Amino acid sequence: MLIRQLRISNFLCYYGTDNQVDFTDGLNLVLGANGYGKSKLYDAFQWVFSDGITDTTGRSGLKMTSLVKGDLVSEKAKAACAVGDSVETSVMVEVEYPRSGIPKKYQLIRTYRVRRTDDKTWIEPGKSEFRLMEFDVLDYKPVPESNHADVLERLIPVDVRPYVWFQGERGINNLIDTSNNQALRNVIKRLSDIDRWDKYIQVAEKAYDSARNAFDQELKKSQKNQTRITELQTEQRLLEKDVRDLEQHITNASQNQQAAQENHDHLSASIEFAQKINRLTQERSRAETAYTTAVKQADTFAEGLSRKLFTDNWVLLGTTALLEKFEDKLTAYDDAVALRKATANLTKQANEKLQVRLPDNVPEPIYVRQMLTAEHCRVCDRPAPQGTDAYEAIASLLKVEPETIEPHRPRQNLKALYRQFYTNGLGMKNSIDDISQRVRQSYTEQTDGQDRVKLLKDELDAKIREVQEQEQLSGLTNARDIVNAMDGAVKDIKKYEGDLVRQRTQKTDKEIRLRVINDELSKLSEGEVPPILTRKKSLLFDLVELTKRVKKEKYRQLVQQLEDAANDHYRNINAPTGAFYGKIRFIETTDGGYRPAIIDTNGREVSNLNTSLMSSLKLSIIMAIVSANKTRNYAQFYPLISDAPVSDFDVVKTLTFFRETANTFNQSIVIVKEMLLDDPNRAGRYKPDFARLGELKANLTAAGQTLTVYQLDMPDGVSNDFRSEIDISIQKIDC
Amino acid sequence: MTQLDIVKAFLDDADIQAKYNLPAAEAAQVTMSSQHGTDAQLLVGLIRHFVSVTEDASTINLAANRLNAHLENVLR
Repeated sequence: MLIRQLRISNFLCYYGTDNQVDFTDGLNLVLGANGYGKSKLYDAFQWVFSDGITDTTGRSGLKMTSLVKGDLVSEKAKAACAVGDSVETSVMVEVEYPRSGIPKKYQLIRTYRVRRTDDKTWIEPGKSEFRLMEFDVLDYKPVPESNHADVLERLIPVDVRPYVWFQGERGINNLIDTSNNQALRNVIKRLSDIDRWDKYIQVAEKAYDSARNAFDQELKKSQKNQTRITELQTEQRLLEKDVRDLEQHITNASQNQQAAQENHDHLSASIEFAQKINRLTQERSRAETAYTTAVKQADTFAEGLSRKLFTDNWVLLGTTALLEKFEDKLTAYDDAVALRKATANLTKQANEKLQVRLPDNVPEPIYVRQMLTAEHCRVCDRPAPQGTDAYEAIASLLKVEPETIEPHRPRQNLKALYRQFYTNGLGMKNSIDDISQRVRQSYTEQTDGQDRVKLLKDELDAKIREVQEQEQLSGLTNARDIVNAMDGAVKDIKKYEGDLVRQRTQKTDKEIRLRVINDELSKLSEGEVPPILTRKKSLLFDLVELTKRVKKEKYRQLVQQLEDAANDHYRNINAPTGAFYGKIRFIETTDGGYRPAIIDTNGREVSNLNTSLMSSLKLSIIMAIVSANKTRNYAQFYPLISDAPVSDFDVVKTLTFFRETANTFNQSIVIVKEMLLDDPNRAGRYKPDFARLGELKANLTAAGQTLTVYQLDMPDGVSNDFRSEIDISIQKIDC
Repeated sequence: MTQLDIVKAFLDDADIQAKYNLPAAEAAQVTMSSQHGTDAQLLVGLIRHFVSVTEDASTINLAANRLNAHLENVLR
C-alpha cells in the first residue's frame, strides 16, 4: 500500500477544507514546530484507519470517537458555526495497492458531524461514519461494508501496523521493550512464518503415532522378552503422557506469561503516573496523619494552658510583693496583739487602782463633769463658779479619773494560722518568681504548635493539590489498583518464567529417556516384528525429531537475521556521528527469550546507554523487523508513518535516520520538529532549514531516492492559547 | 518459501545427514545420485513427500495418513 493523498477538513487544529497533502514514493517529511499540529496530522491517519486518536492521558491505545466526540472538530470551525447549523469534520486517505498486478486505488473517508443547538450546546453523536471507495475505470465507487474489513486488512494488516506506524518515544517503547525477554520472541512469532513449522511437527507426530501403534501391536504378539517389552511399553506410554501434559503445561504457562506480559505492557504506559500518584497519595496520608496529630496536640495544649492558671499557680503571678506585705502585716499583727495585751493589762491595773483611790459615795465622773458645767456642787448644793476653790475642788476629782477604756473584747489569736500562711508563701516564693518565665515558655510552645499546625496544613494542602494535578494530568483515578495490578503482573511473569524453565527441563529429560526406550524396543523387536514396521517407525521417529530441530534452527536463523538487519540499520544511523555506538546482539535468556543488548569491541555488554543510543537501538530493531523478513517484505509493501521519532537525536543522526528510512521503506512519512529555523521575518514563526534539506535531498537523489517536504504553519498573530483561532496550514516546500 | 526451500531446510540438518549418510552438497541440490545408499534416497523421498502432503492436505490427519501410506508403498 502506498499513501497518495491526505485531505483534512475541520479536523482538530486543521480548519477549513483546503488541507491537502500529496505524498510520493520515497521520503516524505512533514516539518512542524511544537504546537503546530504534528501529532494531529498523525492522528488523521489513525482516525481514518482505526476510528481513534492518540490518548494523551498516558494510557496506551487509542481514544475512540465515542469518547472524543465533538473534540474531533476544529474549534475555529465550531466558533464560526451558527446556532442550528452543523460542522462536519472529515479525513480522506487515498491509497494505492500495488500487490495484485494492476494497482488498485482506494479512498478511505471518515466523517463526523456535530450540530449547534445554542451558544454552548452541541449535539455530538457517539459514532463516526466510514466509507471505503474503490477506483473503477473513471470514478470511485463504494465498496460494500461487508468487504471493508478484508480490504483494510489487505491494505495494511492490523498486526503489522504498530511496527510501521508509531508515535514518538512512547510508541517505540511499546513496540520494543528492551527489558522484556519475550518481546523479540513475540515480534518474530507475529511477523515471521515461524508457525508454519508447527504444522510439520504435528503431521510427523501423527504419522509416527500410527506407525508406532502398528509396531506395538505386533510386538505384543511376541513371546520373547514379553515382560521387559511390556515394562518398556508401559513406561513409554506414561512418559509420552507426561511429555504431552508438559507440552500442555508449557503452552499454558507460555500463554499465561504472554497474558501477564500484555497486562504488564498495557499497564506500563500508565504505571509511571500511577506509581507517582500512589507515592503522593501515601505522602498525603502521612501528611494528613501528621496534621491531625498536631491539631490534637495543639488543642490539648491550649486546654492545658487555661488549667495551668491553677495547676501551675499562674494565678499567683506578681504576688511576690504581697508576700513581703504579708510579712509586714504579720509583724504588725504580732505588734498589735502584743499592744492589745499590754493595754488590757494596763487598763486592768488602772481599774484596779481607780477602785482603790475613789471612796464610796464619790460621784461618778459624769456627774462631776455636769457639776463643773453647771458650776454648782450638787453634793453640798452650793455654787462653785469657775476659778473658785470649790470649782477647783470639784475639778480635782477628775484629775485622777482614768481614761475610759473600751471593755476588752475577747479575740482569737490567729498568729499561728497567719504564720503558716507565711511559711507556705515562703515555700512557693521561688516558684512564683518563675511564673512569668513559665508563662512565656508555654505561650512560645503554643505558638510553635500553632505554627506547626499551619505548616502541616500547608504541606497537606500541597500534597492534595499534587495528587489532584497528577490525577488530572494522567486521567487516572485508580492509581493504587494499577500499581497493585502491575505488581501482580510482574510476579506472574516471573512465576510463569520459572514454570517454563522447569517444565522444559523436565520435558527434555523425559524425551531423552523415551529415545533410550525406543532404541531398546527396536532391538527387542528384531525378528519378532515385520522389518517394514520397525523401519517405518524408525524413519518417522527421526522425522519428528528432525522437524523439531529444524523449527528451532529456523527460529535461531530468524533471530540472527533480525540481529544482522538491526545492526545494518544501527550502524548506518550511528556511524556517521563518529561517537561510540557498539553492536547489537540478541542475547538468549534462560526462559527461551531474547533480549537486545549493545556489545563493545571486547564483546562486553555496555550498560547505561544514553537515550540517543537507546532510541536508535529500538528504531533499528523496528526497521529490522520490517526489513529482515525478505519473504514478507513489509518495508516494500507498507509505508512508514512516524511522528517525532528522532527527538533524542542530534542533527547528524537525524539526517542519517532520514537516509536510512528512505533506504529501508518504499514510502515513509516522517513528521518532525527538526529541520526548522526561527524565521527572522515573522515573530514566533519558523522556516525550513533549506541548507540541511538541500543536503539531505542531494544525498537521497544520489541514492536514487526522492524527498518531498511539507511544512505545518500558522498565520501570523495567531496564538496557540486561543483554540478557537487555531488554523494550521500545510504548505509544500520546494527544496 | 517454496516447497523446495522447505525440503532443503530439512535436508540441511547435520544430524540427519550424518545418520542417513547424506552428503551435504547433494542435500543442498535435493538430488540423490545412485551411488548413495538407499537410506539417503529413502529419506530424501520421504521428506519431499512429507513437505508435499503437509502443504497440500487440508488437515493434519489427512497429511499423516498420506505420509504413512507413502512409506508403506516405498518400504514394501
